Amino acid sequence: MQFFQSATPTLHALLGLSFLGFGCTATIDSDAPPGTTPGIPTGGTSTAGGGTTGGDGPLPKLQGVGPRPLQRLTVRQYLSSIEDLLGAGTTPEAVQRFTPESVGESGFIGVLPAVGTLDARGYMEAAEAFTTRASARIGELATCAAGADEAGCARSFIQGFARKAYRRPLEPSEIEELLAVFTSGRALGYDYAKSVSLVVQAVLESPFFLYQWELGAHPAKAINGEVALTNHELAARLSLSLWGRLPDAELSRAADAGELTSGDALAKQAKRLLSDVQHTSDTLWDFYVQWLYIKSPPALASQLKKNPELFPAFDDRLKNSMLAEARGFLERVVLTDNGSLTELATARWSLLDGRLASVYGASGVTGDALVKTDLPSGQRSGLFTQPLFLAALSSDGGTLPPRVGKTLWSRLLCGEMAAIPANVPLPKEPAPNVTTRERFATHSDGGCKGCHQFLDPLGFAFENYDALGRFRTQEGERAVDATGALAFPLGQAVQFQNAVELLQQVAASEDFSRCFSSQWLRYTLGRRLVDAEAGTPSIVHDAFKSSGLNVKALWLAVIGSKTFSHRSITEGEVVQ
Amino acid sequence: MSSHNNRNGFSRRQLLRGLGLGAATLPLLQAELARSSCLAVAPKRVILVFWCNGINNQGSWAPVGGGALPGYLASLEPHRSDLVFMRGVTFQNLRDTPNPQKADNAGHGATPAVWTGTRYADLRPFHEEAGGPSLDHHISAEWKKQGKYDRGPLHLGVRHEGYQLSWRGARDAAPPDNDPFHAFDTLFGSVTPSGQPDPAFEQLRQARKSVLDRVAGDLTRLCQNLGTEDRARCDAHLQSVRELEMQLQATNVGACDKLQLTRGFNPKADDGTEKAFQAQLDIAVAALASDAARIATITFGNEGNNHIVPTWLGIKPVGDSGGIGDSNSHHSIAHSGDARKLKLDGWHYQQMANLIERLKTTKEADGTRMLDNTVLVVANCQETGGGHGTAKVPWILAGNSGGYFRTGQAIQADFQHTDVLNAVCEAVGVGIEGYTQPEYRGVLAALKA
Repeated sequence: MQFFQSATPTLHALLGLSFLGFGCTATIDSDAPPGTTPGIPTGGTSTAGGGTTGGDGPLPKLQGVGPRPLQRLTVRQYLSSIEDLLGAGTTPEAVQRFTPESVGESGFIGVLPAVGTLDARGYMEAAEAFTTRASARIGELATCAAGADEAGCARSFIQGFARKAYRRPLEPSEIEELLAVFTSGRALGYDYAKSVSLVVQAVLESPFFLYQWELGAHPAKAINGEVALTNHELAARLSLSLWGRLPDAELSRAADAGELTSGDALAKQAKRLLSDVQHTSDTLWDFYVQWLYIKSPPALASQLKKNPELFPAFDDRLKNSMLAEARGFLERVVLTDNGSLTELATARWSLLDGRLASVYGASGVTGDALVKTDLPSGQRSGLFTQPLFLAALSSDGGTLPPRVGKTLWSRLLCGEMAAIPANVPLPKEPAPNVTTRERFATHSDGGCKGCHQFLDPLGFAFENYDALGRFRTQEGERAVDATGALAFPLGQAVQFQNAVELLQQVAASEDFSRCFSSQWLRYTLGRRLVDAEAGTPSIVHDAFKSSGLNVKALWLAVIGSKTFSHRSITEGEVVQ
Repeated sequence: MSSHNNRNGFSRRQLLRGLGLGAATLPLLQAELARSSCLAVAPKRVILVFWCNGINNQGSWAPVGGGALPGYLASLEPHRSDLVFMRGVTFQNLRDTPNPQKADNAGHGATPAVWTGTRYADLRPFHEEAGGPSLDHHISAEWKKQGKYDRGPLHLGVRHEGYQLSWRGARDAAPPDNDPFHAFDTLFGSVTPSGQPDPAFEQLRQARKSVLDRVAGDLTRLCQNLGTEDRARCDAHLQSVRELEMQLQATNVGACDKLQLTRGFNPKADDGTEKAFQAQLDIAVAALASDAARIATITFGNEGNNHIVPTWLGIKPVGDSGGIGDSNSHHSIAHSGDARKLKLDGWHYQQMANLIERLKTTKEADGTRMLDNTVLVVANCQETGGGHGTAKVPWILAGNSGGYFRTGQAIQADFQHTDVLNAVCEAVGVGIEGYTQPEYRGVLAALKA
C-alpha cells in the first residue's frame, strides 16, 4: 500500500487539488508488497508463525512479527504523560516551537525523525517551563520534613517519579545518577525544591522518558530472531496506545508482578483501560483526525476556517460544536454503546446543539448541550456526512470534491494513488451558473482520468452538502447532481444517487472493513507492515468481522496480535 | 541589551526568567545587537538563503552579458559588481531518483535537494529526506576537523513548517528557528550590554549543564544496544544534546556597534512576516559579525507557501477557491505569475539587497567589508511559479569569499546545483569528499576568479 499524502498539512493543502495521476490502480491495501495476496503468507520469511486462527481459508495464516522502531513520544503522548506526572496546566511556549510532527510511511504520525539541536533545546526549555508551572506539585511529591535528610527525601522522590516516567524500575546506579543532579543543584546554591526541579528536568529530557523503550541499558532477549516484549514494555505500549499516556497504578503493578506476559492478563488490562471512556476517547479522537485529515487534532482545529463573507454562520463556537459533535459521536458509538463500524458510517442520528441543528436543518434542538437527535430523513449517513467532515474537507470558500474523493478512496477504501503528473490543470474559476461539479470535471478526462474515474464520483456524491455541511439540492440556480458509479478497489461495482446511498455500499463493503482494520493496525504500530507479518491484517480483520465489526473488538484484536506483543530484532541490534 | 531593558523598566532578573524558563514572552521592545565585526582576523563566512516558487519571467531575469535588470531585480543594481546571477541551475540529484515523476515536476519537493549533493535517502512520496549532509553542515564539520571553528551553523526561518533544508546527515534534519526573538535570546541572552558574561546567567548555565550531562549519559547507554537505524537516530539526538551544551557554554560577546532588534510583532502572522524576515537577516549578520556563527541559513517559508499571504505588500487574503490555500497566497500568486508575483519577487530581492548592503557596511577590524570574506547563496526551488521545473532554477551568489569568486557577471549554462555548492566548499577551504556523491562533484569553472 502506498499512501501519497503530504509530510505536512501545508503541503497536503498545496497539492490539495492535484489528485490525479496515471496508473491509479484499484487494488486493495494489504500492507503486503505487490504480488502478494492478503492473508497468504509470502514464504521465505523466518517468522515463527502464529498458527491457524479464524479458519476461513485453506492456508494457515502466519501472524509473524515486525520490527518495533525506536519510537519517540508524540507531542500528544508527551503532554499527557507530563500531565500524569506533574498535573495539568498550560502548554509551555517551547512546545509550540517543537518541529511539527509529520505523517510517516504508516499514513499516521508514527516514528518521528531524529531530534535536532533546536528540538533538544525545545525539550530543555519545555522541561524548565514545566517545573516552573508545577513547582507546587513537585513540592508535594518531594516533600521533606524539616530536619530530615534531604538526600534521602530526594532519593525516594526519584524512585517514585522516575519509575513512573520511565515506565520501569530504575537501576540503583540510575537513582544515584539522578541524585547527583540534585546535589549539583544544591552546590550551585539552589534550594531543595529548585534542586529537585533539576532532577525533574533531567527525567523529562531523558531518552528513557522520551522514547518507548523500557529496557533501559539492557539488551533484549531474542529467540529465533524474535523478542517478546517485557512486562514493562507491554504495559507502556498498552497504555500509550490505548490512552496516549503513562501506565496507571494498576497496570504498573501488574507489570512489576510480571503478570502481563502470561495468559489473558494483557487482554484483561486492555479491556479495563478501554472501559475508561474519557482516556480512551482521547485516542479514538486522535485516530479519527489522523485517519481522515492526515494531521493532529490541534492542527485540525487551528486550520479549520471559512470565509466570513461567504459563511457568516461559521464562527469559533460553531467550529467547536462541529468538533464536539464528531468526538462525542465517536465516543458514544464506540465506547459507550459498544457499537460497530457500520453504525459509525450509517447512523441516522447524531449529537446536536442549537448551532448544529441549524446546520442540519433539524428542529427541536436549542442551547449549548449536545443532544442525541434523529436527523432529517434520507439526508445523512454517520460520520462522513457530519458537518466537521464536510467542512474540514472543503476549502474556506466552497466544496472540494477531489479532496473528499481522495479521502474516501485512499483512507476509507485503501485504494492506491499514483504520483501527481506534470502540468496539472487547475479547476475552472468559480462563475455564476457553473456548478462545483462542472468546475472540477476538468480532471475527468485525459491523463487525469486514471485516478479521477474513482475520485470524482466519490467526491461529487457529496455535492448535496455545502462547505459548512448544510444539505442542499440546489447550487445557485442549478440542481445538484450527486449521482455516480465506480468500482471499489476490490472490484465491487457500485452506483448511487447520492452520498447516503454511496455510504451504505461503502459500509457494507469488504474494502471498508479491511481498510479500517489495517488503518488501525498501522496507527497502533506507528509503521507500515512488513512481509513477515503479512497474515496479520487478515487475522485482525477476521476477528473484527466475526464480532459484527465491533470497533472495540477490532482494537482488542490488534492488541492481541503477536506483532503487538513481540518484535523482530533489527539489523545491528545487540541482544542477549 | 539592558540599557533598553532598563529604560523600559525590565530588570536582568526578569529577562533571565524569560530566557531560562521560556514560559513568558519577553515584553521587550528593543534589544541591541552587534553592528560590526569585532574580530581581529576576519574568517570566511557563508550565508544560505532560500525561498521557493520560482521566477515566472525567466526571460527577463538578469540578462547574460549585461544589460538592464528588470524592475523586480532593480534593487540589486547597485550591488551588481558583487553578484553572480546564475541561470540554469539543475537539481540533478533530485532528477536522478528512479521515479520519473520526480524529474521535472518536483520543484516543491526539491527542498531536501537544494543544499545537498546526494540522492534522497529513500524514495518516499511526499516524505522527502536528504541522503547526506547539507552544505552548511558539511562545511561546519570540516572546519571543526581542521580546528578552524567548532560551532555549528545557525538556522533561522520565517514561517518554515515543511520539508527541511539543512541536514547534518542522511535523514538527520536541522530545522530552523522561526522565532527571531527566541533566536536572538539564544544567541545573545547570556551577555550584558558591555559585552561581559552575565553573572546571573552563569548559575543557570551550570544547572543546565548538569541536567544535559545526565541526559547525554542516558542517551549513550540507550543508543549502544539499538539496531543500526535506531542507533543512527539515537546518536543524532545525542549529538544534538552535545551541540546544545556547546551553544550554552558559548558567550557571544557583541561589544561592537549597536543594532536595534524591534520586538512587538507576530512572526507567525502575515502582517509580521516582513519584519520577521528582516529580523532574521539582521540576527544572521550580527551572529556572523560577532563570530557566534560563521554559517547562517535563512529559510523563508516552506516548499509552497500557501500559508503566506503578502499583506505587507497590500495584497489582502481573498479566500481559497481551489483547495491550494488562499488565492492570494505566495503559492497561488506564483501559479498565476501576474503583477502580484513581480511585486513579491521584487520584495524578496529587495531584502537580499538590504542584506548585501549590511554585509558591505559591516566592517572587519582591518576596515574591509564583511561581504568580501563572505559568500551568500540565494537559492530557489524551481524554475517558474507554475511549472515546478527543476532544470533552470535561478540562483544568485554574492560576495567573493576572499577573492575566490568572480563576481560581476550573469552566467547561463546547464549546470548542476552541486557545481555551485562544491565551489563554495573550495572557496572556504574544505573538500567535497563525504559531501557530494561522486557523480555530483563538478565545480563550476565560470564562477572562479
